[in-house]
Amino acid sequence: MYVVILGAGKVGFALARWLVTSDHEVAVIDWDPSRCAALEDELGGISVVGDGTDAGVLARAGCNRADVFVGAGGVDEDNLIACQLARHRFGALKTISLVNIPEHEALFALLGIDVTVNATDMIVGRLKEELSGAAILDLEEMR
Amino acid sequence: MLPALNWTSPGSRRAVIMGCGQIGSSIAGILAEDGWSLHMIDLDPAAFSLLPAGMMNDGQVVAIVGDGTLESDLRKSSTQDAEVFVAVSGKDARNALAAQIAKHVLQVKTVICRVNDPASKEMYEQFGIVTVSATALVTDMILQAARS
Repeated sequence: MYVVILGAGKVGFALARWLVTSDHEVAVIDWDPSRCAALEDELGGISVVGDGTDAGVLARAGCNRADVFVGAGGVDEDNLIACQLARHRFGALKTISLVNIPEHEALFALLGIDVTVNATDMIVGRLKEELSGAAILDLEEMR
Repeated sequence: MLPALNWTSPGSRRAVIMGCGQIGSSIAGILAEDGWSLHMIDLDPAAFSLLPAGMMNDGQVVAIVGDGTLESDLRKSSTQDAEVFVAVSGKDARNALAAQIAKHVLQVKTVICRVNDPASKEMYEQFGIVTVSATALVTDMILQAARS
């Protein structure tokens, strides 16, 4: 499988590492040369420095033969536009996008993103679990 | 003063402009002179100082500080009741996201989006969005001038 990832931040880096160790082919796009350098130190020459919403940069990352495109950046509009270009201009088979602003989750689905991952709601949901029930009782006792 | 959230002149044509930079404020000035009612949306309150002085006094042009990439802020700007939505901020991706909300969620009839990268033009037109690329326009004009 060939996967192109937008964003060499925490999520993009960890995902790329997992894909490489699982014997998949990966390219990671990030505008920040230092993040790309850090990625390459560990995983080899798989990064492309540039703006992932620019069709030329997506072409350099080999999007025309991508099976999956993952928008893993911290800026929702960049993830959306990159995913849409990957699908409509380059023919990526599947698009997955991180959603940083929860309000955007339903919208991204409506606009044709195959899978959305709403990080904020997932984290808050997990925290709510921890803070409900027994955890709250413990806190009450501590007062 | 709180911005007026409803259109003040019921009979006039209505447009919402996202991005109150040089382009957005120029378009606003011309449309307002033609009698349109306008809502301007920009993240930066200082951006509205580019609007021609006096235009906001009668409520024909309403300035709203907000994020045009959020449906909630576009609704505050009455985009759902507009005939035209224009996205002319400096960032292509923000313009493209706002334009798609206006077109596909808020069902605005005419949606115009500024993009610098002409390569994405075709895709947006498939989505029903009119794109204008300053890069392409300027290139054409320079080539025309050079060849004449």
